[in-house]
Amino acid sequence: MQGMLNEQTSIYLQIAQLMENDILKGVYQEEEQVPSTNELARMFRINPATAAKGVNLLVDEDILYKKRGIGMFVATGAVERIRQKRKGAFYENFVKTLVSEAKSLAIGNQELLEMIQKAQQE
Amino acid sequence: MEKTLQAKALTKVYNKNKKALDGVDVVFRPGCIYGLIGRNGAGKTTLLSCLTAQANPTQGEITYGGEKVWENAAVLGEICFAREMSPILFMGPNTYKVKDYLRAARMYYPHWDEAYAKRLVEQFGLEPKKRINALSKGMLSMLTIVLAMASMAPITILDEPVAGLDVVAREQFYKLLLEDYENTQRTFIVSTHILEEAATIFEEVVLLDKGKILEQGNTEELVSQFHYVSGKKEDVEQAVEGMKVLSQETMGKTKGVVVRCGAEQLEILQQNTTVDISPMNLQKVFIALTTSNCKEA
Amino acid sequence: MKGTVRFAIWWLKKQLLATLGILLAYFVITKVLFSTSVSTSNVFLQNFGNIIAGAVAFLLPWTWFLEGKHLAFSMGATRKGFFLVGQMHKLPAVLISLMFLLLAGQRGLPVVSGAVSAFAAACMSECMGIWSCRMGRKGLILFTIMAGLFGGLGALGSMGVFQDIGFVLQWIQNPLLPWGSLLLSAVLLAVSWQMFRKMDV
Repeated sequence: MQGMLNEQTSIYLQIAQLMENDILKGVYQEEEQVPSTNELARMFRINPATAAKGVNLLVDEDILYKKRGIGMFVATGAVERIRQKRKGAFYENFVKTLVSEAKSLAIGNQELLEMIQKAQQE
Repeated sequence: MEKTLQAKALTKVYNKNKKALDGVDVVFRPGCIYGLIGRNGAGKTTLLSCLTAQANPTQGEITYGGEKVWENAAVLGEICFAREMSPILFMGPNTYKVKDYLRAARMYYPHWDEAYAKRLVEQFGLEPKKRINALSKGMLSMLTIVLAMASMAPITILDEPVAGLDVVAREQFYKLLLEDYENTQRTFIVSTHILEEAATIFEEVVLLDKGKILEQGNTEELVSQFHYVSGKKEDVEQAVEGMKVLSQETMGKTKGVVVRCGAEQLEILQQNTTVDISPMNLQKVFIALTTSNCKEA
Repeated sequence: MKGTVRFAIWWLKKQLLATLGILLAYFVITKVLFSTSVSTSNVFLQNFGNIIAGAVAFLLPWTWFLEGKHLAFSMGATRKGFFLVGQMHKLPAVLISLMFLLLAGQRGLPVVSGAVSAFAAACMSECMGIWSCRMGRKGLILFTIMAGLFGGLGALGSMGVFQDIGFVLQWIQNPLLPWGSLLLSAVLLAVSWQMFRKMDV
């Protein structure tokens, strides 16, 4: 599991992202329990405080919540919340990069749109 | 119950002119895993020796929970300093046996867990009757680790515990450390100069160089302040103007520099599309900080 | 200090077991080499006891500081505790000296002299041990040479090799000897503690 972490962003952010990915993919359903901070720390071979930071980030965003004495659970509506959040970042992280890369390769607007349509059909 | 181990203005001078530690101020709060990072000869072992009253500070004060550490048996029982084992003692080869160390530890550490010690000895394949001077480097490291873990001391210090271990054994150690921390929540101070693989274990780091503290604080917060900026020489120089540059390297027309900056400056930097900005890791940050000093000197 | 006491008892047991082997060899050598130069078994006993006491007085306090210290301090001993508890390692020398003197039929002053001298010798050994620690390898070599000369000459002297056996017997009857030894012990203890209390271990 350790191998899933890279050095591009802070570990706690990566933990949060990986958990969000799993929730989006349906690995964890809403109201289902997710791994505890300690389990995460063990899985990724990181300090529990770092894992906790990532988890707390998701708690602050109402994606996870804590059931006293039991553990962390996926909040109702978490999937939608994640989607909304990522939609906002989608433009910055993916679209802008796509456009600037196309520009540096001298791919015209029409050609780019055709490429997008082709990918959508696959 | 929660006590802090602290050094104030700690200076240690050997032989009238060698300053091993120079005005060190450091705080170790309870329940945290610390990495004490430094090059060989930086003063890590000297610092740890002073913290545990095994070396007498020339100046400064060491306290645990507000009480002085020096000659304080009650306090010393709460701190375990597991040093690197040497096959040579003052008088010649170290003919103590593995079981001698375990026995002595049991007598001194009030929280010693004998069952845990036995389990680890078996797990590591240590032979209790073997003499220290007959142990391999790996076994010496493992004995250090057993003593540290089984001590169950609220502050457990390991001096270069992975020095003699191969990569697989090192991974086993990090796992063991995290597992123990999960159960005990005790303070660990691990001194090492092998950084890359250990960085994710340390919640906080203390960087020591030439007897002085370079940095101390949350690992992630520290590392996130440093960035590697690269691209065409002129573009880079323009982009980092006014920023704190730690090191730079030039290759033909391209240049790469390590800068340190806060969130605001980073945003400005990121808007500059002519240069590439890469994050750093703890090892790279440490190298930049220590070699930067060399340049200034 | 509880830890140091337990440690010291355990350490003493280990050391005595090791020392026994050396002493047995010593016994055989002296019995074989020198039994012809002594006329009565009492004298032999007394001299032999002197040698064993001397050897134990030399070995235990010295090695306590050079070897025992390593283990004890790596586990969190205090200097005061270590020094105080270390005084018990002088007892074996005193007891051995007493035992052999009594076995040899001595009573009164000679017994006291012998016991106190054994204690003084142990204090000397302790002082040298600490001094060696401070001086490092140089101190160790110097001390080993001195101890070898000291001990060797003393042993040979006791066996009457260099001088009349009577000299030794007279010497032990001297009332100044116990007082001198006590004074020497006090001075050595003070010096040793001063050297040790602020030392890096």
